[in-house]
Amino acid sequence: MKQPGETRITSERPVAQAFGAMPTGRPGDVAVFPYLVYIEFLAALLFSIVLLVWSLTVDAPLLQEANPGVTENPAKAPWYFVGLQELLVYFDPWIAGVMIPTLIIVGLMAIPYLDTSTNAVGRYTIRERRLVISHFGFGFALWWILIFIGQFLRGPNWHIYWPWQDWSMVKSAEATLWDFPWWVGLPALIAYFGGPLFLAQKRWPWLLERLGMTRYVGAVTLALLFYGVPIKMLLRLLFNVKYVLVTQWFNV
Amino acid sequence: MNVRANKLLLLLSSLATLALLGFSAYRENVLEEWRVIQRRYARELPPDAAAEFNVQLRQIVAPALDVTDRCVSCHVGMAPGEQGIKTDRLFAKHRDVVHDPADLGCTTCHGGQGRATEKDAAHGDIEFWPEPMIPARYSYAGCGRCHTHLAVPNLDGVARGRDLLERYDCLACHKLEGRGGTLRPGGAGGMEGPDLSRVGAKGIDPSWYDKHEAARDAALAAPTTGAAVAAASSAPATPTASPAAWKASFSDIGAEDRAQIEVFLSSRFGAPELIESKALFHSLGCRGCHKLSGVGGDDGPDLTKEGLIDPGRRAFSHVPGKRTVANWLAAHFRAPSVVMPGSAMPEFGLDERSIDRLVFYMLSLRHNDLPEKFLPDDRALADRFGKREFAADGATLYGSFCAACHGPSGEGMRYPGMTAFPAIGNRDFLAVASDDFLRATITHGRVGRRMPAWGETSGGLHGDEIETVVGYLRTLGGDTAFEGDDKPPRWVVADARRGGELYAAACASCHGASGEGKEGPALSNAQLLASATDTYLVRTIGRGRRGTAMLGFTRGSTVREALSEPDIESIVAFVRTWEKHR
Amino acid sequence: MANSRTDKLRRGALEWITASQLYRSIFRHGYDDTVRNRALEVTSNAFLHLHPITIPHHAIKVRFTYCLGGLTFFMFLVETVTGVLLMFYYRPVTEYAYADMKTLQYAVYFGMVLRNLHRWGAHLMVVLVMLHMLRVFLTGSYRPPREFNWVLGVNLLVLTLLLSFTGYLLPWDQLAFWAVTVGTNMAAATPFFGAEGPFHGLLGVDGTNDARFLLLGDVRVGGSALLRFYVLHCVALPLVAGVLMVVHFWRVRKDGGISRPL
Repeated sequence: MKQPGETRITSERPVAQAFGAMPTGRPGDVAVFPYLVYIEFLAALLFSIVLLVWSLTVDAPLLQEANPGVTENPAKAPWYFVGLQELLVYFDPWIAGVMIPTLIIVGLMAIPYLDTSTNAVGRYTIRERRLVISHFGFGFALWWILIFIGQFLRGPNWHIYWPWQDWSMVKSAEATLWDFPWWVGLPALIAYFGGPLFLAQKRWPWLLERLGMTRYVGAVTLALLFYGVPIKMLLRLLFNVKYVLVTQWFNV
Repeated sequence: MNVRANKLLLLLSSLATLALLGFSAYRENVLEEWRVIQRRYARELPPDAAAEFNVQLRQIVAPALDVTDRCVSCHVGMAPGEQGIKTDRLFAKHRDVVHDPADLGCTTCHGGQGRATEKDAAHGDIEFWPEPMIPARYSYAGCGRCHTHLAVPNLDGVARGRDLLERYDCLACHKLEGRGGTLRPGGAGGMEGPDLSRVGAKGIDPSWYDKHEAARDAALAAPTTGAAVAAASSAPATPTASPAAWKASFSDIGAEDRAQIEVFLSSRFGAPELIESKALFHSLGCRGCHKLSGVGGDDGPDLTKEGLIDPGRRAFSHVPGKRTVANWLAAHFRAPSVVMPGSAMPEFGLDERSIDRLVFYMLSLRHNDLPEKFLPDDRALADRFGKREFAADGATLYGSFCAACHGPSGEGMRYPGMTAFPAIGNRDFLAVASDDFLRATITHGRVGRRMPAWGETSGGLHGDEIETVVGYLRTLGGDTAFEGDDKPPRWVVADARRGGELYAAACASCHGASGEGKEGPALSNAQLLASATDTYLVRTIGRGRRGTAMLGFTRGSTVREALSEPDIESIVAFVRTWEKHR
Repeated sequence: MANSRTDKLRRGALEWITASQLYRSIFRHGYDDTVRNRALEVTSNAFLHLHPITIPHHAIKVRFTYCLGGLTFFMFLVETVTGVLLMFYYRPVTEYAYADMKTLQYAVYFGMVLRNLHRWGAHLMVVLVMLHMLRVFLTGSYRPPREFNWVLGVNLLVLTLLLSFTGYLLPWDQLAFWAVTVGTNMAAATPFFGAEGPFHGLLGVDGTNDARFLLLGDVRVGGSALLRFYVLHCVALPLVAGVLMVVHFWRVRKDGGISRPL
């Protein structure tokens, strides 16, 4: 006696038809085997080919044996951390090396708990999620831009060298930097983090309504912290500002 | 979603992956450079040897020296047990050397990257290998890794020693660096004396001359060859030859010449080019600015490991030609401040041959840590017992430490951008300078000026060495002795104020308004004032120094008036006031 | 006629193979392309059973996922295989590490290719995992009910970076040494817990008990740092990453399968 599903598939019949009798099948679904599995293996094989060709033609670098007595100049972190190293120009190590990475990780993990909409899932759409995607895209792009600058444009003593410039050329130190006095810096910081909380509520009242207080404060704070990074960079690049706030314990 | 197309693609990509893996295996097993070379070697071998020959990775391992040298994977003929192929340079056997390559490996002497199996990488001509091979021309520079050749005389000393050997006809019986050892025509029979090419390595038998004399006397007394041999057998190290040869070739050698010969022979280690280069280094006064193993001046960088500096860390942007250490060094000797902007080293205007020798010597400066077992005697004596690398005679000491600034014969030097260096071989100077003054100056130097202190704790010279240098300085001035001085060190009592006026008029233009030195040397220098006696100052001002810009002031000239004795004394009194201010 | 003859022969051979005890002991499904076998091929295969039997039509479009997650996992497998092979030739001791790299390069069969695969694969994996995150973000696939899987994914991203970073030191060359020196100096800047960070005095933290010391086992990069990084790179981090991956994949199924439009 023939069981359901024993029919041999002899040609490319419509998939829905082939799985019509299957309890798991939803209309429009396709069988994982062979359709998905083939693609997965194809992708893996294509990447194997890419990786093999790469490995057969380009050798991994190996410099001189490690020697604590001979400092590499510049000493660059692995490329994926060079973006953070680049931030050392603009921030003290405890911010660039510790606070920012921590906040990136925490911020990324917080995303689904701040953006709880279930709209536009499972498809690419920019129009319906313009706000979220533009923030995320900006951050993603910034990450790669910083990596690019750090990896390809930084030379000895972390000075900017264009790719066609010789590293043996000596670069002079940049312009003298100045700090905000504390009576400017402190109010500026408070205003920066406090102001938008109220302004955003005025401008987009639905935001607080939709997110609730906790999410609203969390989202705005994280966004402000994030945008603080490029803002501080611009302050440094355009106005030679070293610190916004100088205290006896730490500098921001 | 075409399953058939995907299936086909899967097949193709699988095949492509397999093909790549296959190619990788092929490359690994067939195409590798050393395999190709070894197959060629096997083809060139005689058939029976070729049958036994396997293509395989070959290496010499010496764990104590951290040596894993795969050089013999290509230079197969140099592998232990291989016969090599004479006609092929790549496959030739290693020529006979004192050190067995099977024990020490290849890189110990030649440098390069022993672990590598590709030509450029193995020869060290790649970006990230710090120790490229020493070029074949400078091969003996490799000795410097373990050896510190001791008591090397200056270039004159070497030349003189060589001359003496020729003059006394030593090469009639002895061989030296491939020459000699041929008995003169007419000298029937006889025996060759020992090869002297590396006699310095073991040290010279101090009784060699006595033994020569005894052997000659014995040979002349008993005119048969057998007796000469018998005489020799009583003293094994005694050279023997036929009486005729003795008569013709051996004559008395004066004590001074003997000493010179001994100095020369002590420097024969079988690496004449290297020793000659080292001798040149110790003739040009390089140690005046550069330290080597703790002895030398501080103005230039320490050169103890100069030959080991990673070429990747040398700036090649102003070096013409290939990026090799030898080229860098040569370009640097030609124009130091061009190759290394900011370098204070002057241009010495050396000829190419001297530059080549200096390059040779620099390449040999590879003083590395060595396991105890491999420490040669010379190195141990130098590092642990403070034996000198340079000979102890005055000329060599002067050549090692003083010549660069004071000139090869004490005539003083002028380099662009530097104040002139005093002519210390000047007779007028030596006549007024007591040995105490010279000794104190050498020992304590002149703080604030170029002259460093050479005493034990700073420059590293021993008291007796400084004494030798003082003695040698006297000979530079034609054996000028100190005139003597029966006055106390400070005896001048005069009007310093008047002296000040006279100084401003007569001296300040050269020595500076406050004695800080301009064209002439600084006079306000504390060490100078402390070690110079009043007599020294009075006499120097009065007589000047012939051959320098300093003219004697007791005689006037068209441009200036003569100074009287009291005038000079008042100037001395004024100069002394600088001492009191401190 | 000939066609049907070969067809007959082929079918006969297939039947003989699929009826054999060996075949049936390994595969729990028939060879024929039937609906039932298609389902069984997935469910009865240890490696494929993480998949559902069917998936939405849009999800097998390459332009939806670009296979980024799967490829990241594939790179992890490549790294594991090449890494294990490399471990046979590598000693995490400062005296040997660099020499072993040279031996790998010049004397070990496929040594250089292995190292290249491992190194370039690591770069690819980092890029792929970042792009995977971007893809998941752009398709809104982190939104409820898949929040927690996003969190796991972020953790896996961090682990990937740490795996790559710890591996960076192992060649023990100048590149490795100074990159890790720069990287671990950041740990010394941690507030409270780093010797050079703000407020370190409050807890009595200095160079010998701060966060960097924990990482390096020393005040500078040296032998103990090499060993620590080696153990982290080869054992600790892959284990954690493996566990998180299992949960990550499992949650993809449990959170409703691959994201789909409503």
